[in-house]
Amino acid sequence: MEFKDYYKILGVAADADKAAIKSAYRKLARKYHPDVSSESDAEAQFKEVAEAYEVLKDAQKRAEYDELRRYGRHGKAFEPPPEWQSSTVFGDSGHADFGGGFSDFFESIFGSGQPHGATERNFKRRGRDIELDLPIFLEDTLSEESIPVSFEVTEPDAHGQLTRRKKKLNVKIPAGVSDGERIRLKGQGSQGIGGGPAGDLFLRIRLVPHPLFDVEGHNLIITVPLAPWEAALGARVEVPTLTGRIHLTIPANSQTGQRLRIKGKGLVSKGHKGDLYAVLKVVMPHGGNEKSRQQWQQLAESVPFDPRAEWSKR
Amino acid sequence: MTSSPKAIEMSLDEFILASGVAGDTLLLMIEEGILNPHEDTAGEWRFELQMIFTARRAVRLHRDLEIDWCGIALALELLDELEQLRDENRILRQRLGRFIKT
Repeated sequence: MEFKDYYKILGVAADADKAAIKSAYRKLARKYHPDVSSESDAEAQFKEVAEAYEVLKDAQKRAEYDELRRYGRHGKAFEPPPEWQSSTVFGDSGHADFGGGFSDFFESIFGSGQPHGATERNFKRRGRDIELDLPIFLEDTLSEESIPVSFEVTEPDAHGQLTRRKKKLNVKIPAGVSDGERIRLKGQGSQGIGGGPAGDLFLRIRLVPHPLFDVEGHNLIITVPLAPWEAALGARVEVPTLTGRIHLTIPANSQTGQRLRIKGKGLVSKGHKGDLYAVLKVVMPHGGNEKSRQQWQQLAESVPFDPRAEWSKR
Repeated sequence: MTSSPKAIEMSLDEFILASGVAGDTLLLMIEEGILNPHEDTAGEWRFELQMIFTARRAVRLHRDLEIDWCGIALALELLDELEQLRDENRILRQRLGRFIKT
């Protein structure tokens, strides 16, 4: 077990007063709180900071910690003296919400904070909710799909010991779910303690980015590359949709960036269907031969066209 | 096993159970506009599923950052806006990437 230097974690001096500790904590908490931070390791960082503050804000805990700190160095191996006994009663501070609770180091000093009544017969608590991200392919949002979900719950066994158990469910995902939407499966979370009700399972829909289609609300966008002559003369091209290929008529003299609407080929939303937009993109052929070079040359001479006319207006 | 999540709405009692947030705390959140349950024809509040997460988030911010409820209302509004802008930015970047090589 590593020794944690709580002063170092909060970035304060060992003789810092209460106000300095509070201010350092608040600053770091705003930076790393998982509900506001976009830093990748925010949760782990916040836990460290919260743990340090939990100890240093409390005069009694701080005094005990200072006592132990004389034997430890930050990041170095540490065991509390065998006769060590904390006199503080560790309350349920709730910082454990983000899962995992306090570090082994903290618990070795101040105890685990497990509710003392957990094994008593009359102790009742609702089971933990489970939150999971559920990746869904765009194709699977068009109709109700049954999707297998596996997850782990922490539940008391016959002896009241908390153990992990794997659960598998087939979940019916309704048609028309959108990115970020949550689905609640009542009572499918962890079992309650002492006969308390089970927690819920919450699935957060994550639409998997599609290689071809971009999502805009319940409309889809596909980029359609066109040869210059297809854009100039018009064409009939085959375009993929989520439900198979269709033929799309490209009008003559089309431009890059132009959008063509394909009705009803978007995503499903509240019973009605969005549209698919084909965005045109004129692309040049690679290289070419002497003949094609001559043909471009003829075009250049016969078509009066200034693509940069906009610039000369200024 | 599930119906459309949008159709699931909860009464105040159901919401207290599902969110694990105390009733008097919820009242403060409603007062500050952090939660906006709509009223049914009988004048009873109806809560949407998504509000469970808003309420829990507000509780954590209140406890961990020691922000008052009024400040949380503002923080949540700005955080939502930030998230929307980030999403929009991601989508636009992805679309732009189909037109220009970066």
